[in-house]
Amino acid sequence: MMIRDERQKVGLKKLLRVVVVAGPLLVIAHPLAAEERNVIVSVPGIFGPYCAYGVEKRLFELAGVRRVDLLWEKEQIRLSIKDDKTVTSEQILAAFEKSEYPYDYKILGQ
Amino acid sequence: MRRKLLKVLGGLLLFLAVSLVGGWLAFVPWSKEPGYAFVTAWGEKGDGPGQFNDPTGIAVTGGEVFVADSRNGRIQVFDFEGNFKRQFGEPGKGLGELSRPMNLRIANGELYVAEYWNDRIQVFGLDGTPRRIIGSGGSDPGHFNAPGGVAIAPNGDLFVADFYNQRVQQLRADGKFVRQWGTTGAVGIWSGEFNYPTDVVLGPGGVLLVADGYNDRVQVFAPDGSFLRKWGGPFGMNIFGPFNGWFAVVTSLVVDRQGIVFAADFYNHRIQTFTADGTFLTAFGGKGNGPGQFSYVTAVAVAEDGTVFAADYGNNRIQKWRSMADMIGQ
Repeated sequence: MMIRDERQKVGLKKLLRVVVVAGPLLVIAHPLAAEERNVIVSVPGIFGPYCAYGVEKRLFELAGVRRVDLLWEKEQIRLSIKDDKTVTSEQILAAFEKSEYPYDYKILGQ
Repeated sequence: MRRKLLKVLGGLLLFLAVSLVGGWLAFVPWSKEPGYAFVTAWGEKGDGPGQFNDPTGIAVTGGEVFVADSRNGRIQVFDFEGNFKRQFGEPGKGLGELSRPMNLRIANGELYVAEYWNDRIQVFGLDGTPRRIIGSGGSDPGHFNAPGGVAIAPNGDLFVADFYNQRVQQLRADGKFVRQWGTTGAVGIWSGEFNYPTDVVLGPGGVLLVADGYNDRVQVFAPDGSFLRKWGGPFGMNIFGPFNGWFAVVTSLVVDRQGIVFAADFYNHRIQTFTADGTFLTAFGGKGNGPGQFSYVTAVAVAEDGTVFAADYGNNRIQKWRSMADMIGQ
């Protein structure tokens, strides 16, 4: 039992390290509260439907994405992640790449 | 020495001034028409009847205006005064369902809808009855990757602006591939090449006009497929700007009964008109949310009587305009 607790502590420390070090690169869906499972992406210049729909279409193809909201005035996209899924920043960036979005975009965080 | 330097500087300034004036005269045409007057507008953001969430396409026939209400996944129909008449479609992938409908075209009593997310053209009766689906996703001949607009020839052939495939395809009415313009998947700025084509329309004599979206120009092709001409900024070579005859992304084209070409100039928040050979006639609109102002105009349509309707994307409304020449004549 003791050994198990120690293992759990070590495991927790490892998890903490992963979150601190790789936090910006990883969007963790499951363990966080609902409001924390949103990811905001800055998308300057996303005024036209041809660009916006192209990006949204590729983001919806990610298995973990529940909802995509275009925050038009802020030039941002808000991704809502499904409760039991994980979406990595690499997947998000790959979706943008696939959409051929012509301007700079940046994951701002959760 | 100082006098020589002044002479050189003076010469340079003179050269620059002459170049600027010459360039302006060469590349910024004057308006050749009295222009258009704003009549009315209707709509606001929402999902109820008469409300819009991204109007992206528009077409008119008889006394009705059809609007692609894109994020709401439906088509709304109004009379010419903006009174709501009916709607059809709902978000989805099945027959009768719509996913990001874009430019609309009416031909032979049917409504053709380019569906950006469903990678297809869907055909409806004007009463909203779904009739058939043409094409599916992909880059092979006869397939689409986010079609933006469609035109219909008298024999029923379809011409489709195949946005992400960087081409325009001609298909038979049953979807069988005939030919294409542009190289699949390859952006280009030379004649016959495209940079995300958004819409197509057929003009007098069967010429094909293409809204070459991000090349900021219109390209015209003869019925035999050969390139005829292009316009939009200096040399029609992907140079955007706010001046007369220049574009900042063309998103919709229509040709009226007189053969006048109307183009939605998206980032310039205006409609521009041209003769069939590309001579600039006039422009109307401007950025804003007041009467006669646009917040990113996506689409344009012209009724038989010359009334112009435009989809005011950012303001989530439809605008109605009349030619001032017509109004004076009345």
